[in-house]
Amino acid sequence: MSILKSLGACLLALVLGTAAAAQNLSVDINQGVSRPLPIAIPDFATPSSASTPAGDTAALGGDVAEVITNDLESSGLFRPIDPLAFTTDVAMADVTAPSYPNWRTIGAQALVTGFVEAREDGSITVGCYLYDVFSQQALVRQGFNTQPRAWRRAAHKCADAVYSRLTGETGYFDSRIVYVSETGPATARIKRLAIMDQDGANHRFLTNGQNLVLTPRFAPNRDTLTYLSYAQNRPRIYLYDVETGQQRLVGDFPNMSFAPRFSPDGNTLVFSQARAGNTDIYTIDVSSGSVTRLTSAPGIDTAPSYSPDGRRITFESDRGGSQQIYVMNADGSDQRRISFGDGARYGTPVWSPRGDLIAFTKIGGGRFRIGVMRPDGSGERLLTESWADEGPTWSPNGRVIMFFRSRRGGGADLYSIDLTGVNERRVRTPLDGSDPAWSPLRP
Amino acid sequence: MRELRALTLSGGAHLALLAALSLSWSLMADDVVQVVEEPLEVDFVTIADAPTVTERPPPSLEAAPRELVEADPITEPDEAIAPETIPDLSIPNDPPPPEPKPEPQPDPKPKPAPPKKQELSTPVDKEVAVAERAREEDDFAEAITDSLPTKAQLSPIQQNTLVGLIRERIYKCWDPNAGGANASAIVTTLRVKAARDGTIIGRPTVVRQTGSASESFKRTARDAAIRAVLNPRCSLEGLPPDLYEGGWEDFTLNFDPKDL
Repeated sequence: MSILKSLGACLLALVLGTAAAAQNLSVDINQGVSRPLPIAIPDFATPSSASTPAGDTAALGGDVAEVITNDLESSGLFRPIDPLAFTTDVAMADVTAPSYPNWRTIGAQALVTGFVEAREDGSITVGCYLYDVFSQQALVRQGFNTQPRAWRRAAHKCADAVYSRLTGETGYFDSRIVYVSETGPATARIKRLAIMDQDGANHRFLTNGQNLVLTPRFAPNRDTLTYLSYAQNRPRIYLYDVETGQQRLVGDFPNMSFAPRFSPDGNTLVFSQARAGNTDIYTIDVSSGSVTRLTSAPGIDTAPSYSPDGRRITFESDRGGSQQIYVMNADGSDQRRISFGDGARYGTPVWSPRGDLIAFTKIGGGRFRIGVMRPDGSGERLLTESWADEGPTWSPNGRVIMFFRSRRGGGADLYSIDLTGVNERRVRTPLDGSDPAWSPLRP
Repeated sequence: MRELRALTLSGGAHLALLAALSLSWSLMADDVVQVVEEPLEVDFVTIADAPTVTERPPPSLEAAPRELVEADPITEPDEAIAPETIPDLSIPNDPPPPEPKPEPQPDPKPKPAPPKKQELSTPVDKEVAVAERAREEDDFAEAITDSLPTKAQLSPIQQNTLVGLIRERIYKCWDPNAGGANASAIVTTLRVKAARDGTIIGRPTVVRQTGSASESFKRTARDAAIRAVLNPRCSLEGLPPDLYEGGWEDFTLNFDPKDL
């Protein structure tokens, strides 16, 4: 009897309970806003002011905060709060125990604090902390040891840690850009290879402009470049070691070679070569020099780019009568056209580091524009609206695309744009710039 | 004397110019600027212990399981520089979404062992049996009462009104844009408890998250939802007091970005 009653109570309670739960208020939020996250990045503190070759640690603390601020702001996803609005300085004790109300008052939702400390061996430690101001939680704690003159890298790493924790994506700030720096009249243009940090700092020239250079690309190891040089008026492929400054010719072919790019493992270069009036895609083993031909269709096959898993290659070809984008397996099999825009041409395809998209230059209606599509050709989306944008390159996390934009009066500049087509920004270079290539994230 | 010095200076300047030109010629010969770049390495190190939070964390956090923060946020570890993992991290991170709260079930109350019928021989035993039965009936009634909503119930119209009011407050502080591939498939459900003055009690708890995405994107989605609720600009202050009990004192929010 008691068992029956219990059972009855159970059933009745279940029914009523469900009804009660159904009545419990449940609110669907399927509308939101998109605005950069307000974030406060006060000057980094120092436990004791000490002099380093890069300046005093107290001054470095301000410099580090400034680099982080610029990085986060440039992503378009964050709105660093003007330090003039801060109601408090951050001393060493506040670094690990921030006073949340002070930051909530000025509208900060996230807070980055840190310190710069000189060590006995001459190096510095940059400590980096991220807090959620509303829930009063520590989200990131990361320390970086480095030589004082590499302080900018430590700052970029801190910005990457913050970006990564708050967006769910890997960062891209501790990376570099190699590009072709241009100067002089159109008839006697001097083109030099140049390299700089992603934010334009530490700019320097790698070649002095005697020979025309084109299409610099990073190796996965980030310290080797491949590029095209017209030494002795013949386009040939070179490797350049960024650390030692050494360069070497790759495969001394009798024919013109173009558009080299590394495979994801760095062991192979894929490039195009003109032989007997036909330009095809080839690979060369970087260490052994053995060459493999991948395409043989009549016409020009060029601008090859590997998928991040190294199993496929995208390239452009005019074999169908106009310049279009194709994909094939890394051994040259299964070649398929993927671009079919209404009468437009497509070129310079580059596979995203995430693997899910291919960026390209679309040529049509008298304009060159940057766009992306899926590797099967679906989902085409144009990101830029100018008249002469070309040469896309992906940020290491596949979230930002850099390219170059020609000016109507001559010359060109580097630009970057978010994958969503917003936050277009000019990338400052000392002279004109074209053909950028983004490095992988540095270790 | 002055001429001699001018001659010396001029000669020196010419020599310097000649040297500079020779140098630039030798550089141009191979077109490569011979600047050797020393590798600038950045090592990961352990820094100060988990920050001391001066304000007392909400009790729900205390009880929540804690997950370790990834030691190395850099996706591409380099062989040459082994990133040091940071030991003993105790940064309180988000608790994983708890299991959905079970519906109120009649709690089978611990009962004394049922009396054996054969032993109901004395009047005392009979009394015990009667008392036991009465208690069972009490339990039965209590179980039903427990399962009923204890708070005042809102009419459907009141509920609709309140849903609209809450939605209007919260959405302005929800930025679901962070996150990339598949992030739009993540639906985050929070349980929110509010005080009568509109302040949020404790930290909203994550009831569940659906959608296939990486853990980092899910964490970002949880953070974004919680930030929206805790943002003072989107406080519940001023919601109708008569809709508090059984209404906005304790409710759930489903953050669903798929239609955005």
